[in-house]
Amino acid sequence: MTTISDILHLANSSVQVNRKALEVVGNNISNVNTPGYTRQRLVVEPQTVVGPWGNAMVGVKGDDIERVYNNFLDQQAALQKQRYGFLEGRQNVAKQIEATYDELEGRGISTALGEFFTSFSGMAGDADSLAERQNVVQTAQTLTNHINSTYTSLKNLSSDLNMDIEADVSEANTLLSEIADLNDRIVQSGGMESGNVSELLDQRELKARELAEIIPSNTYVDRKGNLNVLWKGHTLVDGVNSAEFSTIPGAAYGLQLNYGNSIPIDVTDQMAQDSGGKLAGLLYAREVDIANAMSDLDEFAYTLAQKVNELHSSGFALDGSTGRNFFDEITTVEGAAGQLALNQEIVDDPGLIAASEELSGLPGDNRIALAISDMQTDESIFGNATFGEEFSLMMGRISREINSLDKDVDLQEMVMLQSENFRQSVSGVSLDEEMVSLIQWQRAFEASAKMISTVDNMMATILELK
Amino acid sequence: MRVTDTNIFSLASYRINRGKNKLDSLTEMISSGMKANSLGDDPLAVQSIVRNDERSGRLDQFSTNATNARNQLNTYESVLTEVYNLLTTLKSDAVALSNETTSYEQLDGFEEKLNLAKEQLIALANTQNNDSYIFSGYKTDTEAYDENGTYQGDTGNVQVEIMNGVKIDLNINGTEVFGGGTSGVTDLFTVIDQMKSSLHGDFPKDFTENFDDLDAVADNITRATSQVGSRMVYTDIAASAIERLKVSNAEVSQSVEEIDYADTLVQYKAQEIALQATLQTNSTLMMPSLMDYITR
Repeated sequence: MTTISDILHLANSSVQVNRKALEVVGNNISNVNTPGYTRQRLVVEPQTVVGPWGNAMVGVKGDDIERVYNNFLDQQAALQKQRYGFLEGRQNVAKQIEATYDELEGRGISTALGEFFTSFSGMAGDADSLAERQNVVQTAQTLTNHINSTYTSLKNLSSDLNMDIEADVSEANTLLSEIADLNDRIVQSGGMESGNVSELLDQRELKARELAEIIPSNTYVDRKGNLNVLWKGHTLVDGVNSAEFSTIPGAAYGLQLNYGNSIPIDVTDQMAQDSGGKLAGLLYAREVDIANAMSDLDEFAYTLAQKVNELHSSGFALDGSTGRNFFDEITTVEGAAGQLALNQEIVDDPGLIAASEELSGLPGDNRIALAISDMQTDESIFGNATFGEEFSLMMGRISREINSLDKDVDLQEMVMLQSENFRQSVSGVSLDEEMVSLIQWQRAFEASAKMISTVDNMMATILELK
Repeated sequence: MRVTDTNIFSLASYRINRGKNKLDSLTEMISSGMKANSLGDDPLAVQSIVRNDERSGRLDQFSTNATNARNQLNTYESVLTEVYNLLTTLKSDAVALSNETTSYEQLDGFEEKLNLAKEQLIALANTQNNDSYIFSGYKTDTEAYDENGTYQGDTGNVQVEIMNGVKIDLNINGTEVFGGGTSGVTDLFTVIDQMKSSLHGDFPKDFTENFDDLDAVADNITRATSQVGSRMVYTDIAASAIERLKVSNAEVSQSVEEIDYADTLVQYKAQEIALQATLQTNSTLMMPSLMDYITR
C-alpha cells in the first residue's frame, strides 16, 4: 500500500535529482572553454524498494555523475599531439637555422666564395700589383668572417637550445609530481568509482596529456585508481611516487632519470623514429639538424683550407719566400669552420701571397694564382662538385629539410586537430545540447514541484474530511 | 558526429589562420618577385640562387680580364707598328747611302740616326703597361733591354684567363721580336751596331748583308703582329661570348628563381576569395545558437 506521504517522498526525490541534473548542466556550460574538461552526465535510474508486496517504485535515484569519454580517442589525441610537439620543436629550431644563413640577399657565403676565387683571377692579370693583392686579402677575410660567424651562430643556437631543453625537463618534472599528488588525492577520496572526483580526474588527465606532449609517455590506471606513467620501459609515476629527470651540463649536455638511483638516458635513443614529444624534437634538432649543418660547414671549410694551402705553399711570394700557408693550418675537420682564418703574415703584407710557381719567375709568373682561381671550377674537389656546387647542395639540403618540415608540421597540425575533434565530439561540451538538457531538466523539475503541490492539495482535502 | 563549441572555434581559427598564412607568403612572393624568400620556401630556387651568386662574379672577372688583355694587346700592336716603321726608314736610308756619291756629312748624319734609332727601339722594347714591362717575360719589374740592347728578361709566358678553362698567352717575348738572349733570333741591336761599325769602313758602303738581317727582323715583327692580331680576335670573341653567357645565365636563373607574375597574381586572387569565403562561412557557423530562439 502506498501512502500519500510516499508520493511526497517520491516527488521529493524527483525534485532533488532534477535539481542535481541542472547543476551538472550548469557545470558543463561553465566549463565549455576549459581545456581538458570532459563533459559530465548525471546517471539517473528508477529507485525501487523491495517490500512485502513486491517491488515498489519510490522515485528516482541520481547519485553518480558520469564522465563521457572514449579511451581510444583520448589516446589518439594524445599521440597526435606528441607527434606534433616533436615536429614543432624541430621547426622552431629550423626557423632559426634558416635565419643564420644570409644567402638569398646576395651577400652570403656563396657570394663571398665566388669573389674570393675571382680575386685570384684578377691578381693573375697583374701579379705584382699590390692593389690586386690587397683585394685578395679583403675577399679572403670577408669569406672567413662569413664562415666563422655562421658557424658561431649555429653553435650558439645549439647552446641556447639547452635552455629550452632545461625548461621542458623542469616542466615534465612538475607534471610528474603533480600527477603523483593527484593520485594520492583521488585514491584518498575513494578512487575512480566514487562520483565526486571527476574534477580531479579531469585535472590528472590534462596533466598526463601535457606530459605526453613533452615526452612520449604511456599511462594505465591500476585497481586502486592510481594513474601510473611509463616511458620507454621506465616507470615515471608509480602511485604516489614520481621520478625526476635532470640535465647533465657540459659539452654533450646529456639527460638522466632519477628514480631512487640515477639512470643516464641515451639521447640518441630519445630521437628514435617513433619518438614524439617536444623534448625529443629539441634533442633531434640539436643532435641532428644543427649538428649536420655544422659538420657540413666544417667539412667545407676544412677542404677549402687544405686545397688552397696545398697550392699556395708550393708557390713563391714576391720576396722569394715559399712554403707559406694561405689559411692558418687546420688539423681536424671538427670545428674547422670556426677556426678558418687568413694567415696573419699575409694580412700584414699582401706581397706574401704566393702567385709564382718558380722562384725565377718572380714577379710576373702568375701560374699559382691562376691555379687557385681555376679551383673555383674544379669538379674533382668534392667528388664531382666544385666548392660553389657543394655549398649550393648544402643549402639545398637545409632548404629541403626546412621545406619538408614545414609541410610535415602543416599536415600534423591538421591530423592533430582532426583527432582532437573526434575526442571533442565525444567529450566536448555543446552549448546547444546543454540548452536542450537545461529545458528538459527544468520541465521535469517543474513537474516534480507540481506533484508536491498536488500532494499538498490531496493532503488538505483529506484533512478537511471531518 | 556531435559538433561541439570547442570544435567550431578551434577549427575556425585554424582555417582562417591557414588562409592568412597562404595569402601572406603569396604577398611576400609578389612584393619581392622571388620564389624563395627564406631558405625553406623553394629548395630548387634556393639552390639556383646560391649557385649563381657564387658564379656571377666569375663572369664579371673574365670580362675585366678580357678588357685588360685587350689593352695590353693594343699596346703590343702600336709598339710593333712603330718598330716596323722605324726599321723601314732605316732600311731605305741605308739603301740610299749604298752608292759612291755619299758624303762624310751624310754618313755622320746616318750614324746619328742609327744611334737615335737604337735608343728609340730600346725605349719601345721597354714599354710598360700598367707598370709592368711587357717584353720581359715574367720579369715584369725589370726593363726588357739595358742601354746596350742586352736582354734582361726571361722566357716566361704570362697567361690570362678569359673564359672558364680558357687561358690565352698574353706575352710577346722581347727576344721573339728584338732578338738577343738565347733565342737564336736575329738580334736587332747587334744589326744596328754592325751597321754603325761598317760606316767607318771602306767606300762604297755596302749594307746588303745587313738588309737580310733587317728583313729577318721585319719578318719577326710581322709574325708577332699577326699573333697579336689573332689574340685580339680571340679575346673579342671570348668577351662577347661572356656577355651572351651572362644573358643566358640570367634567363635560366630567372625561370627557376623568379615568380611568374600572372600565375602568382591569379593564385593570390583565388586565395583571397577562399579566405573571404572561409571568414563568411565560419562566422555563419559560429553565430546561431539555440539561445537566440529560446525566449520565455
